[in-house]
Amino acid sequence: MFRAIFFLAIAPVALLVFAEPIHAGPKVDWEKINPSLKGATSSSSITGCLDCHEDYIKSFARTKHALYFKKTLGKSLVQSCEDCHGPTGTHAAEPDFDKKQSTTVSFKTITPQQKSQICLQCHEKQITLHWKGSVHEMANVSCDKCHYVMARKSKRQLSINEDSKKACFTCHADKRARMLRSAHMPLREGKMSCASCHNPHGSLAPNLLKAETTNQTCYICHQEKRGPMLWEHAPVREDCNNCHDSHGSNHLSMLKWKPPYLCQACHSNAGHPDSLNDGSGLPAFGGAGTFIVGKSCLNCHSRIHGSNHPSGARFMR
Amino acid sequence: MKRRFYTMIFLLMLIPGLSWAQDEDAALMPEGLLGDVTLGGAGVFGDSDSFKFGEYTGINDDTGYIIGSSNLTYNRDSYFMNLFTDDLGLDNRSIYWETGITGSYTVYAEYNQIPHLLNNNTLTPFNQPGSTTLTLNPGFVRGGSTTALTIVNRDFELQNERDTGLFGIKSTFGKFNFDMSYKRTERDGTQSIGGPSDGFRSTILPDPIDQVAHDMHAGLSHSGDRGQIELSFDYSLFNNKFDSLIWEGPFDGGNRALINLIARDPDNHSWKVGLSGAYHLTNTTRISSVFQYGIMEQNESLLPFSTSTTTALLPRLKADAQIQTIHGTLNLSSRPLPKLALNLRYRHYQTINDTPIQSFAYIATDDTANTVSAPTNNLPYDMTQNQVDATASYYAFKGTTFKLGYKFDHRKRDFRSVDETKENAITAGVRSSYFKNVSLGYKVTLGVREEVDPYDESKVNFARFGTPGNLTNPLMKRYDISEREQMKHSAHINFTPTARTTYGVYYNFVYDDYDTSQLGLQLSRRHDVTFDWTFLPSDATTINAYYTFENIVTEQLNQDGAGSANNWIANHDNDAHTVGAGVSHQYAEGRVKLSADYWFSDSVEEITFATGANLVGALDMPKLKTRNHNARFTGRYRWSPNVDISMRYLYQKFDIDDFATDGFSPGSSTAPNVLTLFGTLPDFDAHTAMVFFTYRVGTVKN
Repeated sequence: MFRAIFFLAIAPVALLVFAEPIHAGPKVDWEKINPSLKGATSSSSITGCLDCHEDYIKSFARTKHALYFKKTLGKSLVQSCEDCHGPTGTHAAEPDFDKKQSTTVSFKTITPQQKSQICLQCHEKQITLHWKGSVHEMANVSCDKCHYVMARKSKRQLSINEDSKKACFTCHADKRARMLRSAHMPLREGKMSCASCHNPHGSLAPNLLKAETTNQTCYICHQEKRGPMLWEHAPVREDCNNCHDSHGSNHLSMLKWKPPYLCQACHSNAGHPDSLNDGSGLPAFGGAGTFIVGKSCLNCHSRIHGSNHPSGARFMR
Repeated sequence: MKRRFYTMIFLLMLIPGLSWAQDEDAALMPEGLLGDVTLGGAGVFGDSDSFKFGEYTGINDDTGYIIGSSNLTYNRDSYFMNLFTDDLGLDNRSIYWETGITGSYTVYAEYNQIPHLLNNNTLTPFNQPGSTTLTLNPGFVRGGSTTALTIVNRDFELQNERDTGLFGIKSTFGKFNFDMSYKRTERDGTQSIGGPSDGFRSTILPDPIDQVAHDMHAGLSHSGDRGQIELSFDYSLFNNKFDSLIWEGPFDGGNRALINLIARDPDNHSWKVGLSGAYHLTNTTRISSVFQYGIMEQNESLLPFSTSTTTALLPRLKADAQIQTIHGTLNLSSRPLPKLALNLRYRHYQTINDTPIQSFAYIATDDTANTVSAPTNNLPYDMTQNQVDATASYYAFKGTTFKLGYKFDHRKRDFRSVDETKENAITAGVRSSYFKNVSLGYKVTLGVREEVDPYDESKVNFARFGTPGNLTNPLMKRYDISEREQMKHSAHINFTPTARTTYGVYYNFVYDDYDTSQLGLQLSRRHDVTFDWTFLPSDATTINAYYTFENIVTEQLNQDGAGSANNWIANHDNDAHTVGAGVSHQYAEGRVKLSADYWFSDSVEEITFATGANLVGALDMPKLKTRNHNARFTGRYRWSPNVDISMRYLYQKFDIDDFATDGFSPGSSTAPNVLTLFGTLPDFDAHTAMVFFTYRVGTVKN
């Protein structure tokens, strides 16, 4: 099995090694995107562009992209424009202002796939390696939903907002509310972003996670939970989300439900694990509250993520 | 000769032209420093003496602090350097610096602090909270329950901090990219941990934290025109300076120990190699894959079974725990027709737990009689997962796409009540922008998880104890592996009646039905709806508002003893309302900008019970409530083309009702068997006023 998985997984790599040299790369077909670009030539100067697009060009000229095009690729500004908007000769020559937009590739009129394909000319690698076929690509999300390249709107990653979460919340509105719960990771304080755990550009892991599983993603910051432990708690080893709601909760430690009920959804051993812990068990109503107050079940079973104590089978040591 | 002369003249004529072309761009691409620096001061006033207020900022009292941040970039020719800093005057400061040659290499470094204030409503009976040996305060008298203790407490605050330093380099050589990074994370402070003295008495302990994690990454990738390949290596080393925590037990009597010992998170390390690649078979078909192999290891020395035994009794002296992880995914993405997109994915994930199984004596909670109850085998849980995911998306007509999907998830597990489960799920959906100014979408998913072999808890007990029989009620099914029907709906509609107004409605529904579980989770139902509104009455004004309602309902069934007359059902019903609104307006050609934002989150959870004949009269739990208000008003005045003066006022309010801690004096006899460390986090009302100046470099535009 191990061998089969390995060979299946390296198939594209083998293709790359053997087939890359004899194939030409997939380039953007500008004419296919906009037939009016048939036979269009490039412009030789940015001057004409400035007549209408001065603000855009001036702000773009200060971006990371402009710097890269100019300094690394040796391209002029107008060539940089054409890398994303196609040849501009016809557009510049068009005398009728109302027809100008139809003579270029405008991001206001092309499809999400076409927009992304333009970006992927350079970016189909590393973090965006698995964009094609990803949940976002299949849902018609394009790069410009989250990024803006014509001006520097954020410190890093060319995010469309200084706060990158806002782009995510445009569609994932429920997560915006969840993040405002009492128990939350430090996203709203700006110490994390959605991209701390997810790769929105595509991932071969579930839920666009950065690592191959939920747990491996959590271990990026919570290395202490990685173990392995002498005594493992099976659902903990398999998936942190069995007990935690990582987007925010109103229960301590972002638990999905209030303990002891969370624990009692699985445990029904004779003795206290199967006991009804109702309101009468609270000290305020005359009960001892042993299994309800404080950390509830974790008052005693405190090593619930796994124990390395030889008497830790019940996670009490 | 004459032709050569004219050629020379022509070429010379070109030079100014070339220079002009370069100057033309150069004028638009100024070099040097660009960005802004912000400096100011803030004061926090009011009833803010709650750790919840500064949970991740470190502010926990009426105080003043410096506001400092920067957003600076510098470039000259190909050289660049960036410096981004945030919250320099607070304990959650971050500094990011990078430099390099565009398109060649980048060297970067980052420092990041994250405080985590846990609770300041705390008292502890221990003498040296924060140390690994906790002795009871002088004058403390032990007893059989909290009511029999003479408690002597001291003030103590639960808080810890995470400091992260990161250094890395990224480099490009033609089509090759290389990156390498090192991250050091240090975590210091305290958290809480339960310290049981027997099965029914516990002391919540201040748990010291002094941990360091070293994470290294190296990657080499090649990016061709049609295909890309990436090789990566990750190594992580976790070092916990405290392998155990010793405390004097406040409870006496029976076999309760005076000296107790609990294990802490053990040192561990892991490494992983990964190979991923992708290739365009045609312009419309791409195949991609990843293969990862890793090992997680932990080999700490084991502690004795109890404080009154020695390690000589252990079956082995070290944990010798190791898990191999294998992950492989193959993805085929294609657009065989201009209107049809297909994606097919196969994923395999496997853990191979090589930790040796041995029988360990079980001495509960340092029992001084060293009573060994049911020696237990440690169980090295394994899981193998195979998934197939097929999705088809068809662009049928104007702006309208239909989607069909199928997922198969097969899991095999060792030492669980069910060896094998399989889940089939189908998805159908539509997205459309057929109607002008309206975009909408709907998706439904139905998934059915089945047990391949019968649910049988006794086989886990046999593996643990070598004898058949159940410790847990055989009717109980654990929800992560039991049969389940899952229904999901999601829908959204966006309506843009004018270029300046947008309305959005988003709805999500998830229903998990565990109808074959006689005991255990019966159902979980979650739905949320959001209304969004954005309005731009003018170019200078932006207004937005949203409201989200979320309802989470769960029902669980358990049995307090044998027989259905002892059944009890706990119903959880959680309603959460979230409101947000913001308005911003600019005057005087952008020289003055005013903005106001508000958000409110209110959650009420009811836990009610239904019981069998033997348990009548169950009392519902007091409601769990959490309420947050946050308001922010900001005014910015452009003093000069390069200087802004801003003022900001923040109002924050937090209320919580939690029956697990309400009414508790920490370290008191409120609960007879639990000596608590903390009570409910104090509510707070806090006002923060700020004045800050922003100096812009290299720009005069807003």
